Amino acid sequence: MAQTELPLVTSDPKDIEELREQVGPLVHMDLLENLLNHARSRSLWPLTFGLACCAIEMMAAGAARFDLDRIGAGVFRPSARQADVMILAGTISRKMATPIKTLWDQMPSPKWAIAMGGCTIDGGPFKYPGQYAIVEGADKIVPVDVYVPGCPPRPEALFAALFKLEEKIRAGKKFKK
Amino acid sequence: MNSRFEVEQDPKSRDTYYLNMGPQHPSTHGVMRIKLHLNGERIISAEPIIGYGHRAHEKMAENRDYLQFLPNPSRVDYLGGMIYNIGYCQAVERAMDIEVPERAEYIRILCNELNRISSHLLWLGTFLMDLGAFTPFLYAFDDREKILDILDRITGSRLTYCYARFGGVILDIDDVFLDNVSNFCTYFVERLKEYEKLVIGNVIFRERTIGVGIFAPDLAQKYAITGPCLRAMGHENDVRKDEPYGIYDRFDFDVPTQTEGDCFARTLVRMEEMRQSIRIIEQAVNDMPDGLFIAARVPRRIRPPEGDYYFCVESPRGSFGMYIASDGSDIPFRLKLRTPSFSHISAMPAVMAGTMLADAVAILGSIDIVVPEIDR
Amino acid sequence: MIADKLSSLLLDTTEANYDARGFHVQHTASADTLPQISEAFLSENFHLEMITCQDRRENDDKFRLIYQFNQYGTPQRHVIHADIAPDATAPSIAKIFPAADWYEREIFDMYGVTFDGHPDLKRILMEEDYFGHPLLKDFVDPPNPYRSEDDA
Repeated sequence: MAQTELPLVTSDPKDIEELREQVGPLVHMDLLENLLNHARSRSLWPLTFGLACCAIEMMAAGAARFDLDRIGAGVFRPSARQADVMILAGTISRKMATPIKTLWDQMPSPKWAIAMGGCTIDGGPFKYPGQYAIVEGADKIVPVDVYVPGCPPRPEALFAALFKLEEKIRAGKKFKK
Repeated sequence: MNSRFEVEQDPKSRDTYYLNMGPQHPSTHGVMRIKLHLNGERIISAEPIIGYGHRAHEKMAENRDYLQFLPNPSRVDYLGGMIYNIGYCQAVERAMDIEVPERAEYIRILCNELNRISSHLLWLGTFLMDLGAFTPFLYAFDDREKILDILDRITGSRLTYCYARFGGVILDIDDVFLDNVSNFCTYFVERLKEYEKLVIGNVIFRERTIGVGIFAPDLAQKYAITGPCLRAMGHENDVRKDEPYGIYDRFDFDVPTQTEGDCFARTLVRMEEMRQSIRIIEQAVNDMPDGLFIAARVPRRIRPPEGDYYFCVESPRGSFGMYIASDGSDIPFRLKLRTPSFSHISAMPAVMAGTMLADAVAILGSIDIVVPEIDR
Repeated sequence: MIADKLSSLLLDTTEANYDARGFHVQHTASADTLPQISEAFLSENFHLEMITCQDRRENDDKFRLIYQFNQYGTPQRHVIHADIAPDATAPSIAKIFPAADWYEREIFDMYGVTFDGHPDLKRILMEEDYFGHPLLKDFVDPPNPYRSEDDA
């Protein structure tokens, strides 16, 4: 054969790269990934975690009238190990910043965070010169996926946020803005 | 053992350990931490660690004038937001000697009592959820939404109201509002009977609450217990009766009391309080006068004369006091919020010592804490 | 009567206008006598409603401690002002009124006023290793990662 034969066992990175190009990926994961993302987006398990006022609206969203179970997001988990969405509902005090980081690290990947209310966006009503106690924005601690404005946001707004998050999860890495 | 609270303990026992409840725990109703020293299931000592919800309201008050502080009180205690919001206005009105029109006073009473019922309903739902019952949570929230709809219609917000202004309220009410309120009253009186059947008679609920978390009689004076917790100990004290603020002295209502001081007594007191609130609302709807909803002449600059002022209102949790020290300028020199949950939580080491671990959840639920109110 | 028991302990007593002020009697006392005053209130079935503090260093170089006692039933609110020098300590009354325990810790946390004889004086609202006392009038929050940069 005219083609140069590749050695069967090689440790040269250049050869491995050539091999990859010729063979291509053995298994195409796209379909499976899409399926998994679809499943993930339809069963978001939030962490039972209320910081302040917004937590009451989060509870109201989970209760009878609004009913988060309709979109599969009503299974509030008290343990971070079982949750995959952290709804940061309320003002984050500096004393609470470290525990929130711990909780975030305890959640298994893939995981998402929703910043609910003005306080978690940028400090909200509690941001003023001389403020010494709060974290001005949840994105200073955890990577936030969806921001919900309001003081506090209505349960409908939390629903909108969860729909947006579902969209983001389904789109996978293709999600734009 | 470094415990500040001595409890009988077998000195030979080596199986004591510390359990950390919180800061993220479903039954602390927010972010609070309790360090429990346990011997098996029995609590030797409990040390609440607070501050996880500290938002520096008091520093904020020293940085802005009286009107700019108006949105804050309803965020101190978001369940009784209306009561705190109106209470703050009343405190400044008294310091400034501002007259409030009749109609505004009646509107305030209506809103106060509706808010009290919604707060007690939320307490009922979450307290029972702590004890393992899920149904009452759904029932209570459903009824709470009805109140929120009524208040939403006139105030524009569901939770953190900023409806009162110095000298009255910001917007007038209409007949539809009054109809909604009286319809709600007829509906809710029947509904309360259902709650009593569902909850009070329940065997599991009784087992979990009767004789649990007893506030010893001397605790009231030691820790300045107020509100439903105090009334469950046999004291007939209510700020609305003792120092009637607004026009509470015109209304006919009872102060429910129980003598046992346990979780069950606190439940009964709150259930009865909801019924009394309905009585006040019905009287207020019937007597609602016409007229102005905000005083025609309110001073443009709010500058209370130099000196100290104290004003307290009956919040759903107890006596909420505002201490304002004015230096004659339009910014408060010092504004201290005396919150009932702070006093109640400071009594927890004395109440929890000697009880079982599962009872700690019941006790915390029954005293109805709001964490940002403790931490301010 | 509470007035008789207190008369020898106080520096000054004024009846306040309850309708305008919200309390009945205002006293001024020296900080050293606070435990005796508290004992007197305890024996007359009063409870400690709150303790708070004012940073009056700019006005008259003092911290002012404010103790408020009340009784169940007919309200009878007594307010006691006790001025202390910025570097002085005040006696703790936590052994007399356990409610004072947390209020004194809060004042220590927020103003740096220390209380002699307190069972466990440590910070309550801020973290235990926090550096300053935030409610002091001259407190400045230094730049830190939790602040946004666009602050005025």
